[in-house]
Amino acid sequence: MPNVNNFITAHLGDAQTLAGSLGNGVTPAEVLAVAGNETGYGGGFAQYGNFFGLHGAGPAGTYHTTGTPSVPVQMFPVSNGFLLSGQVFVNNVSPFMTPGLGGNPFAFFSVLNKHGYATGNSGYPAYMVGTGKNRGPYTQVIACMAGHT
Amino acid sequence: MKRPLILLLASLWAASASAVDHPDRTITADQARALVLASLTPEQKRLPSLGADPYKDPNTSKFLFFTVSWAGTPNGSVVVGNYAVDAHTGDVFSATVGCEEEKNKNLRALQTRIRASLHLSQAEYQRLKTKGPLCEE
Repeated sequence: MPNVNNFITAHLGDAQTLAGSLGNGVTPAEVLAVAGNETGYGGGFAQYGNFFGLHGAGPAGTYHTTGTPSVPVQMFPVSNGFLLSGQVFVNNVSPFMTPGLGGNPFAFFSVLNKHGYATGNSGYPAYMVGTGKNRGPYTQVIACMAGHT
Repeated sequence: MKRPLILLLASLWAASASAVDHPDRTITADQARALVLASLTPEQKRLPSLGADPYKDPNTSKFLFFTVSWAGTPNGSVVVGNYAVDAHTGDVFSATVGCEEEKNKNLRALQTRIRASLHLSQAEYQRLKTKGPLCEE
């Protein structure tokens, strides 16, 4: 999985910072899994510096999707977009963090699911932590991070 | 005078034969986008402002990648999912989960039409088929 490895190598430091800001036991792997799922591990809207699917006007402008009507997507400076878009993500979801939440990835992704991530798709938490043939983003990040220690 | 004519005809025949043997067998970006949108669930298809935006993955040219987005919620995400379309077969995969291939009736019908337009036989399809960009099986 070269793109997952590259993604982790590029953003692990910033993910540690963001996980620290979220507190409550949230781990860098959980933050990386969210961003990996939002961008296909650094593709998608990450090309506009937005790693967390944030909509609206961003500090580096606005990308308009091909939807009808189009949706404004925040743009960030690409060079440090992970950290900058991640800080907006942290501000958005911090109110919903509870002590020890990060120790249970399924519960962490369930909270995100209730507050704007994969809205309407109740399978999101299970999808994120899926194992075996269809292993989810969190499981893939954990597997790749084992090679980064 | 006959020799140049024969050479010209021979070269035209060779070019024609080559086109039959090696036609352009990859799908277009518009076909790939249509396949991605066809792969969505009925609930996803009803989301407001649904769109599929292309992006490139520098690790592979075998797949065409799309981010599907919608209007989203105020502080949530606009992303429905990221998808990879095999440029040679029209198979649609998740771009974030191991070996997950998207399948449904509408998608199958569209894939059948597109494979026919590519003159892709079942045997060729089976030879070209992959398990997706993230599958390690």
